[in-house]
Amino acid sequence: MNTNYTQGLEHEVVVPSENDYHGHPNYLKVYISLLVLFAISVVASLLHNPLIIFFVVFAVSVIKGTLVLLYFMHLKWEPLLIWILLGLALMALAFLIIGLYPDIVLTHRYVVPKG
Amino acid sequence: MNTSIKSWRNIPQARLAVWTLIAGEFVVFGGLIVMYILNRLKYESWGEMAQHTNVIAGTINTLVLLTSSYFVVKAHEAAIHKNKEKVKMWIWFTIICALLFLGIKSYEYTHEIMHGFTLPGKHLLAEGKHVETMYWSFYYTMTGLHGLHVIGGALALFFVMRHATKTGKDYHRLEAAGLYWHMVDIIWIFLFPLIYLIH
Repeated sequence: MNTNYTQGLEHEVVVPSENDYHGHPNYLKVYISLLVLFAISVVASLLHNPLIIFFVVFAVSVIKGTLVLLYFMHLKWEPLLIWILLGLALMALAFLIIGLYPDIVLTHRYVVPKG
Repeated sequence: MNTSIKSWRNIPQARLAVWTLIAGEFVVFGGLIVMYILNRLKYESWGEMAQHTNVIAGTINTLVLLTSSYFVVKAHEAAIHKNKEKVKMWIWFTIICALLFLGIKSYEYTHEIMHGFTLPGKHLLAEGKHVETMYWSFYYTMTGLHGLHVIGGALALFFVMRHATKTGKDYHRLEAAGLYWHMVDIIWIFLFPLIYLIH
């Protein structure tokens, strides 16, 4: 990773150089892709089967989120450490879901407490 | 003092710090979103409640946030070239988008509250609709927390932009604030279809 250094502060601070991003990606292209995907999810919501709607719109959301992460947030050019950091977050999320899953799915419908 | 402060693997400190914050935020919002999905699949009446949300307002807000993300990357591009005027312009466009988003969300909240869909959901409870009140609890928690992040992101962008354009240095901080803003956008990318589109 190429870095350069700013002066004028109490200490040197590592700042990213433009080369960090291998030149900037075509942001307009990414933005238009996001708009197209957004239109797809809105149109898909007009379908009649709720389960199909759920899977289509959720899949489109995953693609849109990935595009923003990779290109707008430059994750594609980030070092392995950042990927590991996000991987750990996903693992923590998985543990959270495993812990809470029985409370929601394996219980009966909401019961009004007496008294 | 001329000590070189570098974070692990030579990643700029601000960027590493914001990525760490983002990782934490993904767990918080990811947990909320997954719990919402599980409850939504379990309780059919949540679909009926979702029909009371304003799809047009949600759609406009999604367009606003997607566009604001584009403005932020353009500001970052301008910051790398230290183009003060363009940085100002793109960040102000982003802040206007944030205000627009919050304005539309406030309108939605007003509309929903006036129809009795409140956090305690008293009128639903009076009708014995306990499961349905849970829907609105999730709705206000998720969108409210997201709204607070929009406010935080807009303020961060404003102060970082003001400092960078006044002093002519620390432009790299714009990238860190921008990363946070994109995270706010990603969260909405998942909230929008779940809340507004799946009935």
